[in-house]
Amino acid sequence: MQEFFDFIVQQGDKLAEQTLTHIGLTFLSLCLALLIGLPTGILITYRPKIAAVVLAVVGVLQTIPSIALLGFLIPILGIGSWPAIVALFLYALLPIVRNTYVGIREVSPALKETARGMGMTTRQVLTRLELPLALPVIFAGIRTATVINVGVATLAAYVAAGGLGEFIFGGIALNNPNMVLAGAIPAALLAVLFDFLLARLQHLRGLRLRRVALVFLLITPALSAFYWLPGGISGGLMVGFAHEFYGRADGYPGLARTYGLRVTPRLIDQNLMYEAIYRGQVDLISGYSTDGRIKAFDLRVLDDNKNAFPPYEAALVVRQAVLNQYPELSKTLHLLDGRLSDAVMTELNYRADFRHESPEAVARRFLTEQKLLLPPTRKQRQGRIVIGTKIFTEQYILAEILRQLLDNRTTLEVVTKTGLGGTQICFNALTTGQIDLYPEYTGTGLLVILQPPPALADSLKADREAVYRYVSREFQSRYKVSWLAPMGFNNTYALMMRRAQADRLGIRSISDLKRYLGDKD
Amino acid sequence: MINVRHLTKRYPNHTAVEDVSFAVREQETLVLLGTSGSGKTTTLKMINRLIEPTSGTVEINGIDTQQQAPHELSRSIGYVVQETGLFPHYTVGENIAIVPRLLHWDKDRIRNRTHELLAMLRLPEKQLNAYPDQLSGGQRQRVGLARALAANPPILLMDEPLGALDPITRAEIRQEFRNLDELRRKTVVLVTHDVREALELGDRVGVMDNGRLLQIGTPKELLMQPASAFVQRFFGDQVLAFQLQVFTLQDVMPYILPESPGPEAIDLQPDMSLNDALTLLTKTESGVLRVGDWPIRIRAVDIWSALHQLVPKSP
Ligand SMILES: Nc1ncnc2c1ncn2[C@@H]1O[C@H](COP(=O)(O)OP(=O)(O)OP(=O)(O)O)[C@@H](O)[C@H]1O
Ligand SMILES: [Mg+2]
Repeated sequence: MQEFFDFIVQQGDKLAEQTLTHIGLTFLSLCLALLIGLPTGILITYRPKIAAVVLAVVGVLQTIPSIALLGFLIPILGIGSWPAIVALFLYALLPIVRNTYVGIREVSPALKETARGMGMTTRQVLTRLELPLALPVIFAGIRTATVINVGVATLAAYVAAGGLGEFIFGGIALNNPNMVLAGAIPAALLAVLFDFLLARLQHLRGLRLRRVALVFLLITPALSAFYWLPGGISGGLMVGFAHEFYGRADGYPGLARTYGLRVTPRLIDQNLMYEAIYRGQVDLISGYSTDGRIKAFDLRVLDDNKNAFPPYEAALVVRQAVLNQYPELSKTLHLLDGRLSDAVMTELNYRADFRHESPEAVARRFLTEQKLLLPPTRKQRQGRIVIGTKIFTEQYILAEILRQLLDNRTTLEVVTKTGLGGTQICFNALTTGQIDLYPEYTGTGLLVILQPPPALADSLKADREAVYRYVSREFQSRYKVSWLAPMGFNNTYALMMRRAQADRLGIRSISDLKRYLGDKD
Repeated sequence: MINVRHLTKRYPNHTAVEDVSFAVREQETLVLLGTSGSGKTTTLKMINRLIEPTSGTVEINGIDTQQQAPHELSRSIGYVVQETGLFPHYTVGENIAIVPRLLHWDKDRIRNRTHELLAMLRLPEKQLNAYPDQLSGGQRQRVGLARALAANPPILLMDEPLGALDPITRAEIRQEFRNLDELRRKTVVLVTHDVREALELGDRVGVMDNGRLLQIGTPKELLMQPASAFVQRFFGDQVLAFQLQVFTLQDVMPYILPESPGPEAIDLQPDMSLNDALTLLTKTESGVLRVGDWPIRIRAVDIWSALHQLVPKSP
């Protein structure tokens, strides 16, 4: 608890900024939804046939999961504020259009006729009778829309649009509960607060309701002004980092320390970032060194010439008991040692992610090219081995390679258990014997599983081999798990740029980048 | 003042009003009387163009209503409906001010007129800021009437204005309506299915059935010469009560033999209804009616026998 308050105090400025951005984003999109939704709701009351269609369309929009909606919008609008604003706008549309429509339709026809009987024009009937009587229903819609938007606006952090989601998703990525709460609690409070205030409005009546409604319509654009476009330009380069990279000690903070690099990034979801740099919406991103998109989008990975990022060499972790039980297992697995370089792994990832080849096909082709497969023979299967993976393409491909290799060269029956979530889940499955081996990365073993004192971790991480030796020794003694020799690639954090731009600016390494940015400042 | 000619309203599978013609003179009250679904409301709404007729014309002061924009026409015609149609989100004051505001009256004029109407309709001033759901049914009805009268329209259309009230309140408000000078100066078309109300409020009554206007005439004419069995059936077994209500001593006088009054007799007025006269005469032996300088002695039995001669026998 104390830690939480410390965090709040420490990050007070950022929290205030995010809260204001959050409110601004919510009301900016609400404002747009009112601007479009109110007239639409009113117009369709005159056209019942069109009404059914319009309501169905906005209803369907509402059912699209928010992440998917952002996914659709990014190709059209890129990353940043616009997809977030548009997504929130679309979500707010249904409650507003529907409630405006229903509210007006529910006004008694007899009253409308009386109004006409007194000599009101259609417009006067609308402004003096229908809208005032529909106001409580319309406010109920605005209330729903606002509460939905306060919630969905957290997702804006996925697309570098700011808001309280920065803390929430940053916190999740860093496994920092205080950070998550620092985002989640204000978001929840905002939702409750707006819900309460709007509920009060709903119960006013007569002239007071009409006045308050007017004031509300004026306040909404004012609150929208809290939203300004987040920064992100550093020395002429637009920088985008993943939340996790930005916050994790071995990510940006380590980089800043080692190279003295200072940038103000926009925070973006890792998966959207490659798309963003490809489209030129950002110029420098964080990423992983073997991602298939490096090849697909022709990116240059900047050379980490001062070893700021810890090594994440891929190697298999296997339960010692299984190695002892099946001697042929270790013999066969060692065939892979050093065969998967960064370039090879990137290529395999690229095939799977962008050529849409199945991991199975990618693995088969790799094994064939490497001449690791023997002519198939009939075997009596005995013994059983379970391969686990985390959930991302690279792991799926590795699991397939292992499965096919073992199936081809041993008498073991091979089973894969793919998609075991994150590192902890995978590792637990291993130690409890649900799986027998999975591909792991040295840096992850060190920082996530072993968690040595920071001083020790710092001293180790400059040296690949030292890290490997340390994790092998500790895993063996603590968990009876063996690290096989590294397979050859290092899937670590990396900074990347579009190759063309990097070449033009003469940036090949992070030191070059530092020099370039330093010149600019 | 209002001239309705051959009005017809057909819906795809129903004829609501068929070839209805009538005229309403200035300051006259015409009541449209009929059973449910007989087309009264439809006829009324065709006068202020809430419903457009299929064929036929409506003229007001000799001008075809089709020449005018509906909303402008409506502003010169007061309109009162059942359940009053008060705007629930407006206070009593705001409701009354609706039409004056549409006509861009200035604030003072609206305020003065509102107070005048409140006094006239015996509504407490403090209710000016009350909302309709805080009033009783009878009060709402009066506000509805005040609203219709607010801008001084020469014509008033009323659709079952007392429909939602209990019989006693109804009778009371009816009485009040009848005594309002302002109402008496209006040209009124009123719709009802209550015969007593029609006979009491109407200068003339039009009986409708199945979209047609069967007969139109003064209450007395209807009672004395019902044009059809339907009209007669309308009065039903209460026909005697209606006769006693509608006819006055003046009407039965020709059938009473003049006789000198005794000393203890009470005074009767010529326009007294037979009903009221009989009520009085149950307390005393006889009364005196002065026609010119001639006092005539009247007893209850005289009234009964005169009435008997006055009205037609059942067929
Ligand atoms: N919009 C419409 N479409 C079809 N038929 C209608 C429509 N409006 C009214 N009618 C029919 O026309 C007939 C006359 O209706 P109207 O409302 O004039 O009757 P009314 O005499 O006022 O009856 P009530 O005393 O019940 O109010 C009814 O049979 C009704 O069903
Ligand atoms: Mg009716």
